[in-house]
Amino acid sequence: MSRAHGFLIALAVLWAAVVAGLALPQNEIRSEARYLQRQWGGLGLGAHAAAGSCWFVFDPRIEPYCPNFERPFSALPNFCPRHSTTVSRLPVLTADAREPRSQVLGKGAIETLPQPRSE
Amino acid sequence: MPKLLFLAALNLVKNPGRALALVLGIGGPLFLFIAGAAISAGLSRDATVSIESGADIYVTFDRGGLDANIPVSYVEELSKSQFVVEVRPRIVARLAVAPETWALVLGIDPIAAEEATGLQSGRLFESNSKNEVALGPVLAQRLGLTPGKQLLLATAFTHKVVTVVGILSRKGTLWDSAVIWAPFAQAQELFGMRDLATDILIRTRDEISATRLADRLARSEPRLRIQTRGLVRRYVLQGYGVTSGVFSAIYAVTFASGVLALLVISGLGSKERRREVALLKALGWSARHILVLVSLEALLCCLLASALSFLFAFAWVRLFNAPLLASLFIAELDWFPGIEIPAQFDAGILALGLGVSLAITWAGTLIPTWRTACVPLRETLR
Repeated sequence: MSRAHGFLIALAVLWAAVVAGLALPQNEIRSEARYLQRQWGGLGLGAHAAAGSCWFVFDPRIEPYCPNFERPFSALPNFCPRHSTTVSRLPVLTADAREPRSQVLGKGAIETLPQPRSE
Repeated sequence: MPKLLFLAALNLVKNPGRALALVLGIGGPLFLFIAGAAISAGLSRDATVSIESGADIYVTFDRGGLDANIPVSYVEELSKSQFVVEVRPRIVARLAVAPETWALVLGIDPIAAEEATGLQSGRLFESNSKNEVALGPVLAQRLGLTPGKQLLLATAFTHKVVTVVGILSRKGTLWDSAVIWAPFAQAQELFGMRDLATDILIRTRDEISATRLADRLARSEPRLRIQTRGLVRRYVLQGYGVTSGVFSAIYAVTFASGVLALLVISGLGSKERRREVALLKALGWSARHILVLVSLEALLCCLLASALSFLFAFAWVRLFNAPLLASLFIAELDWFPGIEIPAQFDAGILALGLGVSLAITWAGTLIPTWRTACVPLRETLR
């Protein structure tokens, strides 16, 4: 058997190991995890272990966005060392983030808006 | 074709330096990519548990886009709704318990009806307990605490000595690791939040009831920030996309390394490659056959690099619990994590990595080879 044959056989063996790895049962959701999450009403969503600095990436239900979006230079995207380097990049968690209530008005549109109620 | 495949393998074996440079150039970033993607998929799965086992609606006060504490009086008010099954107030806060060590203090009363399966040792406290807490496994290990030991929790409002009665299981989720779980009243006292909660968790009869109640609350009380399970599910899971976050950086690294590998194979080894092409042409090979041979060579290299990267990533994350690596992808984690790192290896990720490496390698090898193979033999030999 030549070296080339040996190489091809070794490659086939490596890929057989890859397929075997993929076929192995992945670590399933454990009863402990379900129990604690039920007890706590759901805690934690992002790739952050301790919430020491950025609540947003730990769980956006607790803080809907990262304050570093605003500081120190408002209106510029700022670097948050905690959440910018993780495997999750969570969008701002508010109902009106995608469908905001506020909008830019076109010319003449102001007349068509409903008038505010007078108290 | 089998003959060409054999010749391609022979070429790789005869030029081990070139093949090794290519395999390392592609395999290194692919290892990071596969490991990161697996951890991301594992976290995404755990986030699903957090969402599905969590409340149907989270209610808190909104202070100009940021959360504010909500009066506990809302618990009684919300309980009256026909849609509601259960209402629980909760306090979530952080507290420094040692230098550079943060604990997440979670004040919520346990559901007594359930059998405590989430503990590694000790027991769970009672709802009316005044000074008992359960600790997350990493925090307990870091502070050297076991059931029965005492801990001083100091805030601006009070100093409180509590007894650790239980240590949470290591087999929970990532977010349990640094928790101090206390009864709600105890957390209120600790943070001076008399009559206040961080948020109120509502469990409703079903998803439709949750939507109706959320709509009704949003209309009746504009100060409230209301998050339904559906909203959280929709917004959070998209955060685990492979094209976002750190993966943008990893793609960039992959491409940069690919360019390096490309330089090695097309620039540094160009003289050698030209000689090979000229020799093959002299033997009567057509340009098409030469291109097929070179592309098969690149394919074998990429197959080798991706298989090795996958196997290394799999072993590193699943067998060794991702030391030195998990903390690159998960914030505030030790280099040697004390908890089981969630990971899910996926054939799709492997295929994506293989595809990217193939695209780079083919682009790097086929173009210079084609340029050499298309000129007359005399020119190539010059």
